[in-house]
Amino acid sequence: MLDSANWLLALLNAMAFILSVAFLAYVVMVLRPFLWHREIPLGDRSDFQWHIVIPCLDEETVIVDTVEHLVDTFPEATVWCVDDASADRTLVLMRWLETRYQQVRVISRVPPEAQQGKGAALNAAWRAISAEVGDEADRSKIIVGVVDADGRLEQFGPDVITGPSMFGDPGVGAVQVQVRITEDVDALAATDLDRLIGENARTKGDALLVRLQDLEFAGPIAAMQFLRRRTGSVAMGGNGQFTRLSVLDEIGDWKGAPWHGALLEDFELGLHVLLLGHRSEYCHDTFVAQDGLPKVRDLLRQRTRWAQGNLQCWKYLWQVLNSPKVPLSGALEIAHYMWVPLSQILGSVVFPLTAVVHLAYALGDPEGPEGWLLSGAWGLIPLAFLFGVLPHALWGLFYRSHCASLVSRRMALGMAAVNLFYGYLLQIAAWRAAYRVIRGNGRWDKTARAGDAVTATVREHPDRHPTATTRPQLQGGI
Amino acid sequence: MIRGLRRVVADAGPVRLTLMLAFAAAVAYAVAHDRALRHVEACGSAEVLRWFAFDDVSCVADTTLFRVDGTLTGYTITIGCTAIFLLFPFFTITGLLLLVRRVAVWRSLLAAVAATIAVLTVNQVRLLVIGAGMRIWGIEQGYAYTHIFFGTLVSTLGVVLSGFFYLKLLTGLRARKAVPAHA
Repeated sequence: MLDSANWLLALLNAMAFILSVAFLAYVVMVLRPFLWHREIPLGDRSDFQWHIVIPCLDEETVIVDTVEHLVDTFPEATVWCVDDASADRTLVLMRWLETRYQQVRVISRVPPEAQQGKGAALNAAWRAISAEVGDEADRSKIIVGVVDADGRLEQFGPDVITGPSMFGDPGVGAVQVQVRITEDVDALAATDLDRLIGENARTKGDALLVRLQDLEFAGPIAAMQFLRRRTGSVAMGGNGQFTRLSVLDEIGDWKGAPWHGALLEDFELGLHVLLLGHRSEYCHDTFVAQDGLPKVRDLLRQRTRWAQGNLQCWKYLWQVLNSPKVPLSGALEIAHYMWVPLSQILGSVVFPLTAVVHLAYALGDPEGPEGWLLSGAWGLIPLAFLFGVLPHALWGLFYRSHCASLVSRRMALGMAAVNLFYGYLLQIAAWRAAYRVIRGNGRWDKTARAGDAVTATVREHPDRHPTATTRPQLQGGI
Repeated sequence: MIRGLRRVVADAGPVRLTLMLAFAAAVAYAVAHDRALRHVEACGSAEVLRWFAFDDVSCVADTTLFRVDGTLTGYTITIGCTAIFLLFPFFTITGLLLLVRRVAVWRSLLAAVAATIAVLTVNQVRLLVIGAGMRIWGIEQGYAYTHIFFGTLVSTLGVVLSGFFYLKLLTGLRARKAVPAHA
């Protein structure tokens, strides 16, 4: 009995130690390339033909500004707006944009085909682009980008991602650019991040939760992508994702369509790019800005979908591990990424249990908690800081030093502290995802826009909201 | 799930599957005989302490004994102190990779053996740190200073380095080369 209790305790301690060390080691691994990264040389956007797809479901609050930004900033790009049977005025606004700008195309999807997830909407755009460019075009020189309906692509983006280490290299099939999160996408997109050092941020008014999302994308997620550049397993994201049309065609020939049914359809696309033997790249020297989620509930819903999508992609793991076209280092990195939601679930059980066991030891010590601490258990306090606090907190400091100094020193320290709780908060999403997988619930829960609540207010009280009259010619038709 | 397992079995083939099962059985056997392993670790630690001129060093079962200021003392390699659990992640990955055809069997096993040696060595260093602490700061205080804090720091550093070493051996020592487009 005692032996099995000892075994269980030892196992618990060992699991806590291994999870902590693995996490710490991973942070060290991703930090090295992140901190030492150098700018990449520029290319020439005119060497390529550009098609940018905006999948839309109830995006009336953001779609016009997004399309107008794209048209103004990238007049050479064809902008494909895919309406997925929106219940609001999205389609009407798109039609208006189509009549106003010759490079805008509208794809209207209707039930029962509509609302089958983002991947299905993107496939519709791929078919339309494919039909428009024809078979004679050099499809390897046609780049298909995906920008969210609230996204703002930085103005030099196409020049940066056509550089010699990106699409300038014929071996590169897809490029993911850095994602920045803010409440004011226009301000951020108009800002030269390299020149911000020491200046006041343009995102000064962002809510803390939104800043933490930006920290996450510009910090740990970017650092993970830097590591993946080395291992050959760069992952695609849903926003700021660019792929050669020829590569999408290849996936289409192989699997019927480029995008598939996983809730993490972007990651799934990236896996297919790699499995076909193409390289995917990450570009940190340009970015796409998108709206942050100011509410915890919306954030958890989004992250639950991501975690569930990750679990759904387990079906590719064996194929990835065995594929001679994916470097083994990349395959192991992908396996590690797929393991993350499970490690979060495991960690959220193991760490509290370990804490409870140690607390029991402290209270049960004949010399009391003080005696327990003095007998060597004091060492647990700095170790808890090393394993549980430092790997989360240091991103707050790097956010200031390596992510264009969007925050003051004091704010960076504050974010370092709060990021700890943010990291643990996101573990809830892993549990929710597992629950949905067990229940067989694969429904696509669209991420809410920050402006959605405003729209509801406008619907109820149109006279109280100034933006209700900014496009009067549209209101009459709705 | 069952279809997936069937595919894994079919892809791996009988030889690799047998190897993986044999490897898993060997690990299970070692874990089941943890007392013997802990005895080996205790005696290994005694040998290391002897190199560092500790007095009257010996090992009895899973305990390493030595003298500090004339007093016979020592430490027991409990199930929580042994390196066995620290090797689990390496063994799990190795076991899975034995089924993956593109990874040479010798490479998987070499990486596992190297990681085992590295982790066992790290654990010996940790035990040495505890012993040294007891000699420098006295039995009670030295043990209190070292067995959790410094010991865990040594283990952390060692396991991280062992992990990097393991991955390097597994993935090859050369830098990644670009994969040709759709070769």
